[in-house]
Amino acid sequence: MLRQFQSGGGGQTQSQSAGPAMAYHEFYSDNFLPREHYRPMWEHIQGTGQQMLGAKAHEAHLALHTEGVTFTVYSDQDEGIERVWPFDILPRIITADEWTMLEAGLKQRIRALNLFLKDIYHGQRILKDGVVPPELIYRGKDFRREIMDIDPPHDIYTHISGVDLIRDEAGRYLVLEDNLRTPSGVSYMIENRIVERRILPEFFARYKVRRVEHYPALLLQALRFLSPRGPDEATIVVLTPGIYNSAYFEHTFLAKEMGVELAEGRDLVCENDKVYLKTTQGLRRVDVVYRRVDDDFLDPLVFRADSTLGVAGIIDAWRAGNVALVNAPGSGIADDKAVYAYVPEIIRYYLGEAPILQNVPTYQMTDHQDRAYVLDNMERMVIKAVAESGGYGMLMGPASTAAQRAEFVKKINENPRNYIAQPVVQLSRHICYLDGELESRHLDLRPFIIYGDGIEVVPGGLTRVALTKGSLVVNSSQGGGSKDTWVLAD
Amino acid sequence: MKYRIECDFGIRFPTPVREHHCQIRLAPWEDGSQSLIRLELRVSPSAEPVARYDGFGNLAHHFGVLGVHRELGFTLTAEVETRLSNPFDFPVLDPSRERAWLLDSLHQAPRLWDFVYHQGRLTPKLPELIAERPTPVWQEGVPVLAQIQDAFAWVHGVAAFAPQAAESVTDLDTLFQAHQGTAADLTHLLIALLRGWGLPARFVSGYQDAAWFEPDDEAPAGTPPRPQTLHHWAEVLVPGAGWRGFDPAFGLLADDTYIRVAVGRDASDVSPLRHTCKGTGDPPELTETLKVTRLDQTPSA
Repeated sequence: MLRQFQSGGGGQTQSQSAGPAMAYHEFYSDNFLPREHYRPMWEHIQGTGQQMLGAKAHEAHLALHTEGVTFTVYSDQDEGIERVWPFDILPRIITADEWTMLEAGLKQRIRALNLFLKDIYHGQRILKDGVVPPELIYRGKDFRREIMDIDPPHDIYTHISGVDLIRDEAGRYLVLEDNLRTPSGVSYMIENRIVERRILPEFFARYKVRRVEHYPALLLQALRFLSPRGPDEATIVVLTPGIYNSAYFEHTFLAKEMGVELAEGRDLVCENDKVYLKTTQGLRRVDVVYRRVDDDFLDPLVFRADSTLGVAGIIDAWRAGNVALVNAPGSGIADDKAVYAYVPEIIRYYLGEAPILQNVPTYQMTDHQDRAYVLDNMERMVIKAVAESGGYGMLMGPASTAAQRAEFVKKINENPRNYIAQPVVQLSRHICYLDGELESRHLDLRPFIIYGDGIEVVPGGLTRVALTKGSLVVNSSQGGGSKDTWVLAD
Repeated sequence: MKYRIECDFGIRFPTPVREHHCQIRLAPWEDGSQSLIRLELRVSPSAEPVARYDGFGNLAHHFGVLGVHRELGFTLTAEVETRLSNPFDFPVLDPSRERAWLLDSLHQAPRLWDFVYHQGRLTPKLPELIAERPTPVWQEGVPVLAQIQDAFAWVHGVAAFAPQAAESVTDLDTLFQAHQGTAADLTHLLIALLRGWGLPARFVSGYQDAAWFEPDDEAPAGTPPRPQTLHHWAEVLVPGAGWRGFDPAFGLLADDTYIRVAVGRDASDVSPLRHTCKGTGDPPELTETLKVTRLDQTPSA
């Protein structure tokens, strides 16, 4: 299925010989001077001396520690370790022009993906027209046939999306993945900004930076818009799997910031196709559930019967139109990594427009030619399980051992639909202040998109940094860090 | 033919429970070959059942009892008329046109792909050899119906129908060892084979005429009929005809003595009862009785 890449053999040669030096640098231009939009910051650092950064970095760490901004790392042996959120004090700066393009591209993508979801769960026109192969949908782990023909409020499926963007060697922004299920990270985007503003007000004095702190207000507005009883009557809850979830910090953060209840499955109950919150004053009708519980665990009557995290009957209440579920169950099929390869076609099909943001070239393991090519070139590929996220179930070709590759060959041959491969793209780099030195590290960007009464892209996002030298893995669950992300107003 | 169906379910817990939600699939389908004359569902303790169609088009009912209780029971009574007296009443296509007919149907209704692509523990991709016998392969130029009949024979070679068996297997490998299984087991095996051939095949749960539960001719005189239970069979999209029922347990095409209730990819999609409650987690005792009575005594054509 990889047409884009097979035609250009040059790309393969490039990625083969490309070392980190080939990566686009966000901060330095080709003549090793800071780019135009980084100069005011650079001048300030030079004026005050680099030692200042050391003190500021320490202050930032203390602030995050005191605030309890943490995340949880899972590994095979341990149950989960809580760590202070790793944060680099030097901000990533995006110009107003760049942002205008990104914003338009993201809105286009989210609009098309919502039309796609509506179609897949209703008439399936796109399958009849042969644009997307039915096999991708019906063999997709996250396709939920249980919700066929349900009409979510306002036909919106992905109210909250976090789209991962990277920049290739030429500095072109590419979409790496669409996170449409329960994307996390937005609380870190806000915490990063709060800390940055407190620690480095002098940086802000030199720039007009667009705000991101109003994200909870935007989200609340969108959630109220979805309420079946109208925005004024809306009772909203954030449904969390509980304290053992790696994003529990974010669940509490969002509930607190929006002034809504944080509930676990056992706090809610359904009766006559309506959802209620158990309160000390009795049952209170719930209109909107911002659920951070995965589809599988959401309703034991419909999905996994052994789930104790969900609410029995909530899908029936949703089907009856008495509650809005955010994001809609079944949205995961649109961010399946095999469907991802078709997003440019999906945009053309529903919107009749050329995609503004391009994909990373992707090989389908269900395609014999693609598969043979990938298996011959595994050292140069990133191989991903289609329904995994957070950097789990992934093979980083250049850093892999022969044994790891052999294991993936076996897995791919057993279930080709479950894997895709992409050539290794050298993510763009940025300077970071690490242990007293300015070092360049690879990074990506996850902007957040809210779909309520219109689509809003919050100007900023979560910039994730691969803290290990030369590493291309930015996931916080795999040892990544983060930066404040500035979008300039002009 | 007209039938009355009476289903009685009881759920009894050793310790009290609350927030008890039930979802049931027991009401007969309605379509061209089957119509529902009357349907009644009563729940005790009192609850208001809500009817809706699930993602496969099955009529499901759900209800909840929030208060504390130890026993929950419900009775479903339905009267239904079945019309498919002759399951062969369709124009037979030339084998060379059958594939095109199927592809066209899949193209018009992509939802049918679910019944081709789905593989799971109960309907896996079959190995080439089972118990040292080769798994049948699709033969070009041979009519679908003839090949399904061969498949019946093959299914019986792998595993015989055990009417008394209470539990179905949890994966087909177990069936290959056991050499006998329930109607659901045989149906899963048949479906796995037909999907491997690229035919849309789905799992059906339903009721059968009481006559099917009578002892067979070889049983000693005075043998009582088996207790009536839900039966399971497969439906295959037959070129020129549409969905037709194939019962591997009895080796027959389903006619108007078969009353369809629910369809799905496998047994887990058609569970007659799914329920969940809050309590100590001790498993309840389940009782169910089923009575299917023929209302008109006209013999099947």
